[in-house]
Amino acid sequence: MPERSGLRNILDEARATLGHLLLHINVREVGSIEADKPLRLGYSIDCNPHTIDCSLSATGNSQEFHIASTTNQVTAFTEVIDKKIETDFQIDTAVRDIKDTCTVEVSSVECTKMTGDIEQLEIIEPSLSSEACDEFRLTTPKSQSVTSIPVKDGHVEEVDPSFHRAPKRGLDTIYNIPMKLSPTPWASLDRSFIVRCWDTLKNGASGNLGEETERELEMAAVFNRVDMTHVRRTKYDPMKRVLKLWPGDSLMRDKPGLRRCAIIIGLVKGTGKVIQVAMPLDNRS
Amino acid sequence: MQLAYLLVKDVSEESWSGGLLVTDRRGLPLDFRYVEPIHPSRLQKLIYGSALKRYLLLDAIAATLLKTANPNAEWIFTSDPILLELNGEITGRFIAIGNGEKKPLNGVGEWRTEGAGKIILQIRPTGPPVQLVFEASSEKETEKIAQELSELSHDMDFAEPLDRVGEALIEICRNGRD
Repeated sequence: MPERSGLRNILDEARATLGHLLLHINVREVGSIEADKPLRLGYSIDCNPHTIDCSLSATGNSQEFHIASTTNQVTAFTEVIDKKIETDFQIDTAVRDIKDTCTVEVSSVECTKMTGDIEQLEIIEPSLSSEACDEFRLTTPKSQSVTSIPVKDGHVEEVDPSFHRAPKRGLDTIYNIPMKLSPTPWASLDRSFIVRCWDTLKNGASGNLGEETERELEMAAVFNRVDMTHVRRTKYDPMKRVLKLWPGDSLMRDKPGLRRCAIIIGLVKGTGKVIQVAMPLDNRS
Repeated sequence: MQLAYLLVKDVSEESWSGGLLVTDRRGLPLDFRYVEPIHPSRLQKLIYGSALKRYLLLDAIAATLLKTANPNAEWIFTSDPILLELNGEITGRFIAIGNGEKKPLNGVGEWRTEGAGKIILQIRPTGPPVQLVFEASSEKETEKIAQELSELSHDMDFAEPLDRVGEALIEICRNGRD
């Protein structure tokens, strides 16, 4: 059965500990593959938005991992720090696991010996993809007097660590979404007011309907005390029985006489035609 | 008086968006801001695990919107109780609007408490009442807030603008795909 990589274990642990986590992953160091030599593999993880620079290092042959934070601000990592995870660690397995499970690119690979002289050195350019890392092989060590290998800047797969998106203004969009009003229940309206509404509806409809069709007119709904200020358009939806009102922008002028009104909806039976009439209200209404 | 409506929703199976609408007491828009849909990658889902939704809702979307718009609203209505955690971050009280029971109460403005920080209120002339959840430490504070919301419900259907925010987000998402 293939071993799980140290990174996977560590991520699982970290995931259980942290809410906001780890997005940038660089595999950075690869050490000697000689069985009796220490092997070191480090992961540098940027944990934005908290800007945690946490390096996870693994010593392969000792089968011990420990996580060291390079900053002191990472209280969330406290539980993970110094945690030892036993695993059989293989570089190739780790790279493969990272590629298979995380689809991250390995940004840089640095090969050094842990102690003493550098026996061999090979740096793969940081822009390497995971596939390229699969090709990574250590060469026969040669004595060199190099003590440190800077990690070069290079391409890292872009993973937005904070999902941050600058909000946009969308007043044009919201102005095109109508407000919706429910009809005023008949029971809450005075009889005299209903009669007034009916008369207003008939008068308003008379221009559009002949005498015969007027007999087919019925009052379907009344929307009482509708504030028409800054409303640029209205439409009744007979299926949902709601009145849609499209707001105008704040610069829209008040409509004279239409500040508060009752919107009366008439339906012509048989035709489905909708008649909409506005009845201005005075303060007593 | 200004009212704010904060909505964060999954606009499609794989993406989240959010909007903040500020209205006057009639429901007319004064300001509207939105965050374009966020599509968490496979890696992000893997790494964030079960914390992903919470992080997206609270930090990545809601907090960003509030910080940018900084509304001066008396009430901030939302549909998700998780956003109540933002109560105290800005001026105004957060109220989560949810579905109540089916049976209507006697009339608009009628309410009853269901424990501290939870009431049922009839805000529309017809149809079921809504359930309102908010932070309140006692029954007395709950009743005080319920009374204020009841008065507001006589002036306007204060849940309706939240639907508009949802429609606007869908519209924005649709236009983004065109």
